[in-house]
Amino acid sequence: MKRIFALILAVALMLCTFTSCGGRDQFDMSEVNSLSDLDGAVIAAQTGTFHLDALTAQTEGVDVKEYPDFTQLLTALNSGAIDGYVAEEPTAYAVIAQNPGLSYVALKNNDTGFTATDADTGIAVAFKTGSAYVATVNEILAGISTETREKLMQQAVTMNANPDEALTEALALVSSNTNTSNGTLKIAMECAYAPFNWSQTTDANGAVKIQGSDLYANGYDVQIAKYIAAEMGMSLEIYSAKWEALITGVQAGTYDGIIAGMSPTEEREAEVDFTDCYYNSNLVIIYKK
Amino acid sequence: MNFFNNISNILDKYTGLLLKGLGYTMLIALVGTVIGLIIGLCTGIIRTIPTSKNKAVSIIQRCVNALISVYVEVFRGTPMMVQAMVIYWGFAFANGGNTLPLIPAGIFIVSINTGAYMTEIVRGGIISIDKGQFEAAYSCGMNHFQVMLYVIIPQVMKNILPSVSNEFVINIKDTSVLNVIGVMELFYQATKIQTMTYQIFETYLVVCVIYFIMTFSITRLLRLVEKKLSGSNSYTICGSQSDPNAEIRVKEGQ
Repeated sequence: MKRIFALILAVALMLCTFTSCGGRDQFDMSEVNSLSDLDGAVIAAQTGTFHLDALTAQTEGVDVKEYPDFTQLLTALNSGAIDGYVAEEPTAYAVIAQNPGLSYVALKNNDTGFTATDADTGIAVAFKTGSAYVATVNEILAGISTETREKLMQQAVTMNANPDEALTEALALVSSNTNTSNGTLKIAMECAYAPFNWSQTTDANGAVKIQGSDLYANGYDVQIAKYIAAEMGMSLEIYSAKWEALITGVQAGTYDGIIAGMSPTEEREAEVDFTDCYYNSNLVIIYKK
Repeated sequence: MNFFNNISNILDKYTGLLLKGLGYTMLIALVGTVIGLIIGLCTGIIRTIPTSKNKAVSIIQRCVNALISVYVEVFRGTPMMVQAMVIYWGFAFANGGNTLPLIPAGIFIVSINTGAYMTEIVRGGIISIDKGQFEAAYSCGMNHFQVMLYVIIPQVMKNILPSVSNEFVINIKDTSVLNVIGVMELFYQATKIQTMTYQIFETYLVVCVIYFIMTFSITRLLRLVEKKLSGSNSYTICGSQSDPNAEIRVKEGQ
């Protein structure tokens, strides 16, 4: 009797498992013009980001999912598990350049899109609390015009589409200072957040060797890091670290700073000191056409 | 077809990274298991020392045994991923930002973790040896270390080999958790490759096959060693020293 009962239970469990495998009705994202149109969609964001907080707090009727990194968000979208995911506009450019089947809804911050401050969607350089570098870097960043920033970001997107191919034009931001007598600047980033920073196998387009690895880092952040280091008269070392380990590494003194597309949110400000923003973007939602 | 193209692209473009990852994974798992086994044998021998009649010595013995128990319980009772984070970043904070070199750090973490498991495996191995063997060896006038070295451990090694090879295979797979501190083993290389290719499924499928080839060949290899250690299946039992007809010949399959 017990055996039969166990068997029935096992079969029931298996049936329950199979029912969850059923198909899902796709949400039509092409009609979305503002956040309120998202009602009923399955939207994801990266764990531990402002994107996720904003998605949870500022939308209604959205089935919110979270994934630990961007490649997984992309895979989830391609597999049909989600209808779209929240990203910064430059990320959308880079992703769509590589995946022609995708598109994005351009939601403008504080207008049709998420309510956000510069501290939420701008990105800044982080140093150890009390670091003297902050003021110096702020001066350097103030000298980079918005046009140069936009140009460099466009170049980063182009470079990301074909990382090993040389750009036809010169990089928008190159320092003329070649003196590196002021020591080394150790900068950490994920090297996995295109077009801000990514890894590649060659040193094309001025990519910088990642310390302790055979790979090279390139992207918007890397070019900014190169410029800052050169202007400070320092040589640059790039370290690849997990997102969660970036702030810890700076606090421990393993790295001097973080240039990793990191937004200066209140919580992070309590742990490290941020400079002014070196890029501001809007949050968008990437979806499958 | 696109799928196969992606796979061959990954194999073609990132062979260097994959091979390097494979090499580091094997290195860390192999050295970690060997050091872990040595730790296990040492702690096993120390734990089985008979309690001394001398009060002072017996107190020291009890303290050492307590320390070993704490070590085993702590490292067996916490995930290796957490241990890696605690040790790696703990060291960095204690030493003004200097981090441990990655590969030795990986080997260290795997070793002490395996050591905790090995301690229990070796203890089980020693318990499984018949008490008469200890008594016989002691009555020959051997001290504890001689008993262990010449009589018990050789038998223990043969008995625990299946568990040790199991531990080795587990280590090959578990080195993947070291990616949290950035050790460049196979899984870490896979996470790097997937951010460059944006192809999670293809990348991890390739890595999955590589892991399986590694573990499968290791288990087969160690199975051979086990067979070798257990000796030939055909042997002769000598019933009498004077009568040749008293021999019993055991042949394979009988």
